Amino acid sequence: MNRHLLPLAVVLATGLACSDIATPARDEPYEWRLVVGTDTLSFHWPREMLPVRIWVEDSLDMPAHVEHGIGIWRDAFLYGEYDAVLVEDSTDADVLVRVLTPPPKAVATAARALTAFPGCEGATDIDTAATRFQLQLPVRMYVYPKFDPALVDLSECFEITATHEIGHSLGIFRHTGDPIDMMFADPEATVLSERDRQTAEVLSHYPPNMVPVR
Amino acid sequence: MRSLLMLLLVAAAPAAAQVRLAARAGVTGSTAIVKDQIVEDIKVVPALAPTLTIGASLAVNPKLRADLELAYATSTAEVQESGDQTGDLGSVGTLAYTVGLSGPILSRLSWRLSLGGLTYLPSEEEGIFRDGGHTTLLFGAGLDWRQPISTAWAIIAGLRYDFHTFTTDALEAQGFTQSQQVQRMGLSVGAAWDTP
Repeated sequence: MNRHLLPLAVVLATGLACSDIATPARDEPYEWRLVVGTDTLSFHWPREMLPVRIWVEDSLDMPAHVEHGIGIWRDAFLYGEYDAVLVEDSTDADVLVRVLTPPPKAVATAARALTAFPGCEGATDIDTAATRFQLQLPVRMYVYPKFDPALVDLSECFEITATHEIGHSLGIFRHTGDPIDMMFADPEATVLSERDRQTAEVLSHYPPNMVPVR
Repeated sequence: MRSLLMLLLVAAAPAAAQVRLAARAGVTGSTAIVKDQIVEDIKVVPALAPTLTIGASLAVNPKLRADLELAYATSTAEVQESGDQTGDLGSVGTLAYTVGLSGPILSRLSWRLSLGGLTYLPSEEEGIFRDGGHTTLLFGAGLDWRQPISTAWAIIAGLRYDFHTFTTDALEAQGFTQSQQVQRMGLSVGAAWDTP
């Protein structure tokens, strides 16, 4: 019997001696938080609100561009921290995407992140409501052409801008200074940079001090 | 794997008077398949998994049997942050296919050592499974208790321990290196039938 138990002991010892997986160093996140006065505001969608419900104006193939952007950001996460779906009814959506030039800011508490492209532009309003520690829903996003889309193919421009604005809606409230980042103010990147991905991961686990309200 | 089984069957053939077929149902518990730290500690831990096992064995000699066993378990891959469950990655099945050797310890109690493969079968391609599952080597050991109830039939109960290493293409793409050591423990009961 000892002949048989010896290999068993070797097998068990080998197993117990193995180590844990080595995690990557996430040492490149950029500043994502919104500074309002003396407050530094951080937000990510609560797990119970996932998937985030996004209503998109059905114009210029914008629903497809927004879905593309959702997929890019969803793939940045390993543990299901973010997901979003398109919804038909705008009344209960968490995010509204309009295909028009943003109107003047309706409230003074809103911060607007503007994105400029040669062919199109985007904007996302982050309304911190009266207390600053509340994010007023729905978050309003705008993606719009600067030229007649019948004359110029703006598909890539819309795709990148939609992805960039979704980055704002999931909690990256700042622009970066590096053109390789999706969250560069005038983005050209078609994929997330390592810094984009790390920032998204870190912010989704950073304790938020903003809560979404309606 | 196939060659090993053929070797086992060829070795067993001279002494093989009976093939013993077995089916069992039980549960399998697992340690974390991923450990990470993003601001706080994160783990992905499979929940307690209902498990179905089928197997066939042949006598190599009076003190040794060779066997082939298939075990399928399915449960939710839970995401835990600082010890609290905060979400999940959907259901994940595991299919274990092993060849083993077993022999008596006491009259109704026997040991089993096994070697084989384990494949993770996620229901959804998301998160750590966004680029698919994972297949790895599986090492196992166990104890089986067998209570005959007739000349051909017996009630059986099994205790299984196995270990393997885990990683996925998605984890490696995001900079993870090495693999996570995973240990599993299973309990099951069922029936065995000695063919004539």
